[in-house]
Amino acid sequence: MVLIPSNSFRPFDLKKEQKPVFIKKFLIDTYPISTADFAAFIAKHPQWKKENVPAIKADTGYLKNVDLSPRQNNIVMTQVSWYAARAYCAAEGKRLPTLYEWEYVATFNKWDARPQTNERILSWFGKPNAMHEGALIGSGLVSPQGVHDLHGLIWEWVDDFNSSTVTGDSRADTDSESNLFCGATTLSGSDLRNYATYMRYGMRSSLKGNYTGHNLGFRCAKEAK
Amino acid sequence: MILTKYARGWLRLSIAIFLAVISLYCGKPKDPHADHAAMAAGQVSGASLYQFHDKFTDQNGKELMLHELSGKYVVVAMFYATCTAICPRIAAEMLRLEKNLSASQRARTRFVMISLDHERDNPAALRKFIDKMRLTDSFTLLSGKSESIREVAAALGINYKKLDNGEYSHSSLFTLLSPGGEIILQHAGLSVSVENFKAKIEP
Repeated sequence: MVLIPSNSFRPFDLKKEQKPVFIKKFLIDTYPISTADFAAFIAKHPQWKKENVPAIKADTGYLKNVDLSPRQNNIVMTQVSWYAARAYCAAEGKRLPTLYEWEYVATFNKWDARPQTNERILSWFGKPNAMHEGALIGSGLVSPQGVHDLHGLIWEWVDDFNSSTVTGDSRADTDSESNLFCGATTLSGSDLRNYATYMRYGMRSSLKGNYTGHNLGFRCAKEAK
Repeated sequence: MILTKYARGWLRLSIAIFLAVISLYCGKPKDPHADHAAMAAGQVSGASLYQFHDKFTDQNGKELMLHELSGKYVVVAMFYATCTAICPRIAAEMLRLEKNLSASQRARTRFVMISLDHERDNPAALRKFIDKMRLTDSFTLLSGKSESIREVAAALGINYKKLDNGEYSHSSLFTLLSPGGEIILQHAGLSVSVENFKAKIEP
């Protein structure tokens, strides 16, 4: 794991007048979870086998086409629901990173906005879905803090993924807007030029806890002592 | 029309995200009658909200697991008791819905409001909200641990976030659960269509 020191952070969905968020120091997995990692988890916790998981905690795509007896341990785990990802991290004595923790590391010192890096992130968005299957851990970008694959490999679950479309902004505005206080209409970023971040927020707002996708995986985090 | 490079970039990205999102939607629509058989067999279906076994506390301080609500249709929304913006209107919509059901439908339906505010919404705060909104005996208000709340919200598709000032920003979403706890209808926003709900509840 990589230790991420405390810092203040201005997330994308913060309005100018809002105070920055304080990120308390924490540990985050250096790499996303692999299929081999997840296979070991299921072996110990059979309630997360496909046939034992209720539909409300993982949809029909759960573990679909995932080779759970992989010959290599560097294939990134996908096709996994938020509930399963949470259970995995809890079993490791960890948790999913929060949205702001994840975004803080993924946009640390705006490393993701450097022209070449940004270009690579954006070109990854344009790849057909099929090309993400069986993606190899370590083939994505490396952050200045040494965290791998935050960009260019998969989308990742965060613990509070379902906080991402709502901000304080929409309610504060007008009465008529508060009537429409639901879902996708309320995103208002402070820097709309940042496409990649915008895409991640949009992506998360479309999810439900039982959704799975062949480019949706996760990594864990932990409090730092 | 010739698109600028800027606009083309946006378009490409919009299509990419659209495809990425579509690829995630692989659930099939649920048959609302499918769970009658399961209920008769004393089982809860996999798609049921009653698969969550965490304990909640109601307005009377009684501990309750969600599956204890089974057997009736349930209209469920999330809120918090000190909210002055949208939550009173959510409660008012639920009252309006209740009033417009037929007598037999009313007897078959419970109204459940689950609090997002695990810190402040103790039973006394929930009772205060009930008094303030003049909620009927058909209402159950629940509070729970923050983990339990997030798991249920994620199942219902409710987005929420605690703000700096202690308020919660959250979606207004009404969900109708079958007697077995499966989602059979959802309405986002206010102004619930009473007819849509009535059509899904056994007359």
